[in-house]
Amino acid sequence: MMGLSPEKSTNRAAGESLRGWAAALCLLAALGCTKADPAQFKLNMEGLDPADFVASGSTDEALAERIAKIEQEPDPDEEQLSELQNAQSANARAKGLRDLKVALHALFGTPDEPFVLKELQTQPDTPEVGFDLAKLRRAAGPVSSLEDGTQIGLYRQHCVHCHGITGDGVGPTAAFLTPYPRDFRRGIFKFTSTSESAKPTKDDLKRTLKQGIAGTAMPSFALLPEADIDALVEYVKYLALRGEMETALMSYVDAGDPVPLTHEELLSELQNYASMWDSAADEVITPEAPPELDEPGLLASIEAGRKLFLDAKAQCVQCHGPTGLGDGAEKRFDVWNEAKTDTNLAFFSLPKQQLQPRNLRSGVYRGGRRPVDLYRRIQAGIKGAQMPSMGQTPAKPSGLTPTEIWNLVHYVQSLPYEPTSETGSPERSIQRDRN
Amino acid sequence: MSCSKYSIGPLLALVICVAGCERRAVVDPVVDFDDPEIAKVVAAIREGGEGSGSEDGGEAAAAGTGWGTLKGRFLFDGAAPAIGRVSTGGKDADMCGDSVPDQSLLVDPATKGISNVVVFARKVSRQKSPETPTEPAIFDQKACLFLTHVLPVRTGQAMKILNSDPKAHNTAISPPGDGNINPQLPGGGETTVSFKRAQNAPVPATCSIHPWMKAFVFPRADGYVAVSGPDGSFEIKDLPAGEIIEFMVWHERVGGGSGGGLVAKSGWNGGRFKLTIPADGVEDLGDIAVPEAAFK
Amino acid sequence: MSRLWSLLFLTVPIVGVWVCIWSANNGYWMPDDISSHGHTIDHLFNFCLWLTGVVFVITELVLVWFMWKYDAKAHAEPVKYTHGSHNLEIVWTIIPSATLLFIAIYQMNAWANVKMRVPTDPDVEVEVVARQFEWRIRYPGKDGVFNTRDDLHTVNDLHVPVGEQVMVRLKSQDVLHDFFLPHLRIKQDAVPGMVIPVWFKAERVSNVTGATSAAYDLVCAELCGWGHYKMKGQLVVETRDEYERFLADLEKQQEATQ
Repeated sequence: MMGLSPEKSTNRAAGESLRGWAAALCLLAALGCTKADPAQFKLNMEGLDPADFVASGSTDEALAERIAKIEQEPDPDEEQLSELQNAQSANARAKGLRDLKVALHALFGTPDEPFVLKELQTQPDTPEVGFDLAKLRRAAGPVSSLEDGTQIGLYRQHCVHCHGITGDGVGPTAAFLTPYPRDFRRGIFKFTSTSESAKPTKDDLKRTLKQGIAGTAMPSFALLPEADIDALVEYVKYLALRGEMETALMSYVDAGDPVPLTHEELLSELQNYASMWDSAADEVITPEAPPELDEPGLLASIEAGRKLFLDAKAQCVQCHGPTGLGDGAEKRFDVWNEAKTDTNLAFFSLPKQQLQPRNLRSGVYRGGRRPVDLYRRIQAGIKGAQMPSMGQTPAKPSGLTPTEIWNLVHYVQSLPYEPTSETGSPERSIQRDRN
Repeated sequence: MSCSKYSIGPLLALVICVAGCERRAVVDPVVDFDDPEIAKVVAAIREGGEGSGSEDGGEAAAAGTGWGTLKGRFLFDGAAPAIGRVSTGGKDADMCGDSVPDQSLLVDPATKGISNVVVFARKVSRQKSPETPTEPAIFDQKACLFLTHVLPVRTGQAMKILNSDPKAHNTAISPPGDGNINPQLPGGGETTVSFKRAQNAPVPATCSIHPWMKAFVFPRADGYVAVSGPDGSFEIKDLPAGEIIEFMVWHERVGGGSGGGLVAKSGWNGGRFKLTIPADGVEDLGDIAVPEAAFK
Repeated sequence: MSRLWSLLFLTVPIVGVWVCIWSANNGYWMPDDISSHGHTIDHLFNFCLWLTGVVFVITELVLVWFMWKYDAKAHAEPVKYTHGSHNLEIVWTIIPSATLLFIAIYQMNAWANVKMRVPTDPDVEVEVVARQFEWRIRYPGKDGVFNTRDDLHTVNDLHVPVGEQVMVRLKSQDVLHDFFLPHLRIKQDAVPGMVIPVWFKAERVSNVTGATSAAYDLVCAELCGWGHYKMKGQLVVETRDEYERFLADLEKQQEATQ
């Protein structure tokens, strides 16, 4: 101020600013160093309008009273009556949402402490059926490791940034990926060894983890120890079952019905889904072995496959295009993207991504490049996507025979090596390697 | 004084940091799982003792005798809209033509009746014929259109999907909580499927090759489903009399498909209404006028 | 009191040298070298380390000495200005230039061996395509020609036989990556649009006698996106027999019809 020398007042100003910064930093540190809340599962509000689930301001008794009063009037006000009834429904739905959370918490626990009902846990004599709680506990929880090097929190270490804590495929990384990471909550998995309407087996999930999915952002986890992969497979199954159960219970809430909260009711609902998972191993497609073919035999098979590709019976050209470039049909959506709507932006939904028929000349096969993988794609189709099941089954005798499917497999396998797919220069082969 | 120039800096930084911190508006109720009441419910569910549970819909518990009928007619309130055309884009033009009729909203110009309005009972305590029908339901397609726009089906009942066209179609049905269905049917081919779960709303069936093709399949546990005909009339026979039954209406072009807004009448709440059917009698809802604004 | 600053500066060379020596003696040093040319590269590294280390220590000590001697509190004489010393400037320009020139010429052979003298007849050829965030590896199969039906594909798992010249055709599918084999002293950027040859020979399986196969790191050394930190594969060096068995296994798996 007035009395101070210029030097002293500059020092004073500097001192004040320093104190100001120090104070601000201390405050920020105090705010930032609060203990983070433990991770929570997010609600699945896909296809629903969150505004429908907000409770009205009044209690149920107050509303019932007012409705009764209006109904007693000689000329009841229709509009007011329906408004009050809507408020009652909103209350019911809000209560239902709370009950839903309680039921899910009881049945499945939290991301840090998973749980499954005793009836759903693996029995020692049937290791393929049910859930192994020890494996779930290894995959769940925050990332840490035991003294002997065993990793805990595997899902959060490897999967959560893409697939999300709830397995909804909306992790922080998901927004940058094409295609999006899988949403486990529908219990639908694309690349399986099982028939058209069956769930994947544990081996299918293991294969996906070990091989990754070529042409997508799903990496190969082959370098992880076998026990880690088993634990992750268990946890993915757990998230899928939890998601399916949540959808089932949500249909009660959406309808305004009370959510079942007894052990028996919830168990019977749960077993509807769990039984589908348990019976998946019975639905594995094991193709008849193809005939041993010499060179001319193989060429004949490829030619037969080519004819079938263009034929009206199989109609492959309609979607994959006459040259197999995937340019035949207009792009559609798979079942996960079909469900994405704008009302869910509050829940960080992502914009729809279109589904393209596969470019068969690229030599990139998402579900695996083995002949048996290609056979299964054609026989059973791809669940959740548009590829239909083409093969013969007892219910569908008019489908393609095993020989026909092997011919198609040989044709598809030959496509990347045809002269039109040949590149010559390395740059163009890179172009072709893109999915 | 010099403080105004210097110490506002850190203050501003602080404000920006706090303002930038993520805040999402969520409809996610906070449930305190440590609350003893809630903990008791959770423990009961997990252990399976006699736990607290909510009553399971008292409406369907009332007992009555006899059977009755519900009928009515949905009429379009306004000038009947012309049936639109959907372009096929020249796909399989010899089989499908250049365009096909838009079946999403069909109003008969003479009677103003609205087709394909679904009316169904949400829950009943007893059924006249609880056995699964042995006759399969037929779901056919020809000229690149599904021949039945809404097909009710019983859970466990066989449904035959036919392809009466010369070239292949595929019929993709993805019922929530049930097995995926997506068979490719060559010309003249057929397959048989069945549904394990009842659904709350009709499930779409589409074709990947001919994307304009869309129809609906509606699996229910009981047979109390009616789909309105071309004159807009529907009839559900043999409903259990003497109990309050909640009915629901549905149309593919109304209110997200849930039927809310289809009828603005008292007692109709979000496309649902409650009725008691008289024994050996007919409950006639009469002509129900549906405003044009209800359809999207 | 303010001579404290010069003492603080003295800790820099002391701690620096001590940490260096301690690390070298406690395993925090270069990874095991199993390659044929790795010793040349390590030698160059050590040469530069010693050269720069000695210069560093001398420079630091001189700095500390000047700080101590001319500390303001202890040395009250006013500053003397000088027009500089032309001779000194010549000396400290020529000596570093000569050193740099020497280093440049000294390492030319090593660089040429690793980067320029492409071997004409390698024993094993393999194509490695880097993509976000994995290494896609392709062997040419029995016909020895890439891009035919018998090619063998694998991900993140590069097997090579010991003692044989390996030629890697390095490509990238999307962005810049870097093919880094620490135990072979190999590091090469994978540039999209280019096919870059990378060659090496693993002289032994590992330092354990009698080992028939050993796994080493293959990591990405060019920031390529959010998954760069975990873009890790493995290099398995094994005997010829094991290598043939690996390829046969891959072929069997890839042709599975059941």
